[in-house]
Amino acid sequence: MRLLLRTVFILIGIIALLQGNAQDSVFRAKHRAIFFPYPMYQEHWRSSLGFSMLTTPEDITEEVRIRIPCGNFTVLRRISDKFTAEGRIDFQFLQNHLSAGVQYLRPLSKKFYLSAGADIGYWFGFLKLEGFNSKGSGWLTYPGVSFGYMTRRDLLITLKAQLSFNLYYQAENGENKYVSTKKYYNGEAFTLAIEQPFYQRKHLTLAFSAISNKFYWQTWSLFYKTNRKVFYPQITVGFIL
Amino acid sequence: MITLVVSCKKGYQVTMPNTGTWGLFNSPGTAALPPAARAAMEGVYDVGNGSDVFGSLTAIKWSYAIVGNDTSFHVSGFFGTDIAYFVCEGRQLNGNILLNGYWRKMVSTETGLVRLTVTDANGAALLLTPSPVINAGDVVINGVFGNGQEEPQQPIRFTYKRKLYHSATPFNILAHRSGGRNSDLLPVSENSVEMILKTAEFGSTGIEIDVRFTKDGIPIIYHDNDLNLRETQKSGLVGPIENYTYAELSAFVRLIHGERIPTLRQALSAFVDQTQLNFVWLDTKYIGSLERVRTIQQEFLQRAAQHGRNVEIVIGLPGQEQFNNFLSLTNFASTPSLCELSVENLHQANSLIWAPRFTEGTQNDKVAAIHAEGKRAFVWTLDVPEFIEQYINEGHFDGILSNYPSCTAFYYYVHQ
Repeated sequence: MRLLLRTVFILIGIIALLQGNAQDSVFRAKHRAIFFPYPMYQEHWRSSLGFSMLTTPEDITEEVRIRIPCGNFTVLRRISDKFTAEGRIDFQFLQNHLSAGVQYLRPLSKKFYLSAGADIGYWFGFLKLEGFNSKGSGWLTYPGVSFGYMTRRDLLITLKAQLSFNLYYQAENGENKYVSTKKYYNGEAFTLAIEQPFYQRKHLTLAFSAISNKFYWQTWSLFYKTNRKVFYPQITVGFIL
Repeated sequence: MITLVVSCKKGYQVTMPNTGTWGLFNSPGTAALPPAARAAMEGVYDVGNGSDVFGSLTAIKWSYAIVGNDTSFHVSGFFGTDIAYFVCEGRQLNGNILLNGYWRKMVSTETGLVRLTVTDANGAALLLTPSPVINAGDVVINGVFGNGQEEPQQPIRFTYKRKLYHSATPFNILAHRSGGRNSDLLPVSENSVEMILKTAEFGSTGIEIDVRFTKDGIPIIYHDNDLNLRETQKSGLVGPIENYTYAELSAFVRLIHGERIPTLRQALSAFVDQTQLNFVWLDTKYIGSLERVRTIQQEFLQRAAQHGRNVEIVIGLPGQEQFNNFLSLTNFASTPSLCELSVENLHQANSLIWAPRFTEGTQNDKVAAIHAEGKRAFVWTLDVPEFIEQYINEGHFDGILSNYPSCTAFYYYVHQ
């Protein structure tokens, strides 16, 4: 009896493993994605290179409407079937943002997927041009959830909601330094991402984000935080490597 | 996302409360406060009730503006929390002093009514004497404040602590765009005559205004290059403001609160004839000859002198083109100017004032060298409260240009 039970359990395990591998091999071949909350059953690494475009808020920056592209590199690392680590670098050279975090991933069905996790972010910038002798840096954390839907035509649709909490802010103007350790709710970001193979199995990410923050690291040199949340529309394009 | 954008836009509005609802303040028996009482009331006060909302200290100061044949006096209280302030009118009734107005937090849309009273036993009797002398604890202002248009019910109390701080040399609290930006939802438009008349209520002792020219050569006050909905109501006119004559602008364009775009003359007339302000920084936003601006500058300096007003009107030199145009003026060295460029440029132009951007720090060594030459140094545009506090406490500038003059006023007047 015990042998029978052990055999049944082993068979179930093998079937489950094969199922997972079969799913993953199909998925990996057809659906490589960065936003889509699909577990990394077989792959150990996945990465993406892209850029985002953010428009500064007209009512704050007025005629200074800066639309500098911000490059980004994202890497995913499998931890287990249910957990993935994520690292990301956003770079504009004069201001940059690094983040790292862990996501818990859970398939809800063959079409619906869910993930939840949190990132810790560090930004830093410097501006030493005529009239400027400034540096800034800070820490934030970003808890969030993602909900994914896989269509029949290989299109992956992800809705991501992410909160932002400011942990630390430091600014230097010449010899003057200001440090704030005040922790506060900074705002939220909602992203709609679509990911799809488009050419010789290369995968493209296109994401539209509605960011509503009191402080946004890309604007640190233009203005300090506001006590109201300011709306920033952002488009992100990524090529999965 | 569209919903989010629309809701964000609609949510950020300030509706100024109607202050005309306090029956006692509007009752027939009230009378104006004597000048001595107003002057004696100025000072730094401890905030008792209400300190959780406004902070533990307030700097209380009176200001005035002349409108028509009337001089309107307002008392303002500047706080150290959330760039908050109140602005009230004052009257006396049966030996008590009544203060009626509104409060506002500049970092948000929060505003509401405030009603304050100094009873005869709490200092009004002393304040209403011919030559009042006030010591700590002599004056206690009690009252209530509320949110929006609601009947104010939350208690607030201020207790006189000490006199306002004044440095040995005059300090200029300068308001950007004559009082503040439109994005901060003030009750009047930036760069308007109405703002010039109101800015002292926010603590300003001087203003910075932006000078441009119309198509027919009239110097006007306007910040942006183009006519846009940030600065003006919908008019059908678009594009560079220099493409329109003053008659066209006057007929068809209104600033966001309905005012006309003022000419430089109208702005300086209001400054000289209707305010207590003592400094104007003409920020030259155009590239071209400064001759006409200088002519108007000289005209209004003479007019102020004739009226016994000790004021300064300086031509700002923000860039190399304006600097070169300034040097091409005859007798430029005797023309009052403010140089935003290097110290070397300051010497070349013989500017009275050096005005570096705040992003270079307090630069105490350079400022000390400027002072040693008998010149002054202002810093711009300082809007972060923590930076304003730092530059006042650790720096040696003679003036700060800010969109939040009330914040500069608080940290300057409570300084010890």
